[in-house]
Amino acid sequence: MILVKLIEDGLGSPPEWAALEVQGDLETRRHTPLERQYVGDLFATIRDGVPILIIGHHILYGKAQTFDKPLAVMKKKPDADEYVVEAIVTKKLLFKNRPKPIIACHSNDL
Amino acid sequence: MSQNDISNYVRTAEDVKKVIEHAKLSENDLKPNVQPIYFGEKFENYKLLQLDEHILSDLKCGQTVVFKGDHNESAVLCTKAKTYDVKEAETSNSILLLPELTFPDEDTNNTELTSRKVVGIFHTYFEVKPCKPRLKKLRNLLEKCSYKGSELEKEVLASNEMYTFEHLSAIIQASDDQLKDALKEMGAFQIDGNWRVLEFDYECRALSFLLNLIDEQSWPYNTIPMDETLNILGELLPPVILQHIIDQYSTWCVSSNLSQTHRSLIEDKVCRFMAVGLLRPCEKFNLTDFKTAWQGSVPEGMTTNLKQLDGTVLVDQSSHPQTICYFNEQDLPDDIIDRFQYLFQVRSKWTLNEIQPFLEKLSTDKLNVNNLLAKYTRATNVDGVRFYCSKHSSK
Repeated sequence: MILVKLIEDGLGSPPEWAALEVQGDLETRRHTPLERQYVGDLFATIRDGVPILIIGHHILYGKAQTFDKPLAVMKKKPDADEYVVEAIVTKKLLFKNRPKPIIACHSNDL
Repeated sequence: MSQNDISNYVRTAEDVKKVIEHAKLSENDLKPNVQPIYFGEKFENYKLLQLDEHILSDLKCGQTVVFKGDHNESAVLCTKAKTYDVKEAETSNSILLLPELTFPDEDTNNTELTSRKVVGIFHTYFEVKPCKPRLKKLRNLLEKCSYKGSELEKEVLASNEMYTFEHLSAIIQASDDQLKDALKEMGAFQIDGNWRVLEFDYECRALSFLLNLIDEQSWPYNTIPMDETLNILGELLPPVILQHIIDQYSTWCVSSNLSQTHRSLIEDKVCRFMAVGLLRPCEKFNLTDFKTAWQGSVPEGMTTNLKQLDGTVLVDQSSHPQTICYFNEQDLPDDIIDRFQYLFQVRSKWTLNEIQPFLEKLSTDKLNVNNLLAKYTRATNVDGVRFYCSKHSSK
């Protein structure tokens, strides 16, 4: 039997985290660990609020979505059969289309 | 960009300007709050669990939800009221978690770069689907340590494990509410804090003390004076057992002048118990003989009716003479496919009325008995009567 409890942070309701969903896997060019690495820049258009993610030489257009069923983010307590729900995720930015390559201007201008 | 591979790299406004240009975007079309994203220093070992409204609201109310199941059981998640099947779902996408992120529809006046941190990348999450509680184990455990009479109690206690509610709740794959309902339905009760059932033969004996007393005293079965009953039977049965038998098989009388002194036997329950008592020891019973014997076994004034035995017996109307046998829904497999297979092994074709009592417990709001039949069986008409048979035409 493993218990699942909401974190007791005195706030009453759990913190809301966000998810960012991209196609496939993220890896660094030299397969170094991902921790601490810079990933990319997230923009949004003024007009329709389309999220745009630029990672390296790739541009991804996405959309904001609400999960049909929210996700609980849980962490196992060390030495106890207990998970603590530290946050709830109800919204995500989904980038489901293939990234488009950004082609350097000068080659395009020809 | 070789900079991508350097840890502790921090984006500047210049960098962002450059990337906008490269991508042939116009700064004027974009909201000013750009969010450079970094991976955190360390990815925590988080797990993702899908929630529905019900689980979420339970958690928010401070309730604990529980994963249940030992190594040979597939896991379920239980709230106080419901049980869910849990499966690990995989996605080919990567789900990145960020404790903070501004969504496009959120207004912000921030024109500075706002760094955001990814605390984990996920390709799996636990998916939950509402399911029926798994109660077969409960019956098995309680039957193993059933109460067989005070003289045998020492032996039973010495050689069996006993179960408190907390203990059962930890090992049975059902929510606490469902577990309570199941205990009630199987007629379980507590002795010294442990949940027990009566062994069938012992229950026969205990109930017959009560029925014999009613018969001897010529009390109407629906007006039994409790004081006298407790006094007389108190010498034959331990108080806790006597109380249990009375609770199980009778209710307080409705009429106000008797409602605190007299009880009425529950006709359907008594009739069903007597029928099972007759049928259990033998393989088959001639239906006509059974009906006579059954009516003769119940207290004066009660009327037996085959409807009382739904889910407990099988009547074979095609044999000559017609027969009846003990066939308890509770002994059938819990899994829907296994159950149909078993039912069609016992009998190759069923009418709706015949099969219904053996499917009702597996039906849900979304799948009622008719839906189950449509999904898992083949229907045929024989002389205008609709029969259901196995989809797979094994012999």
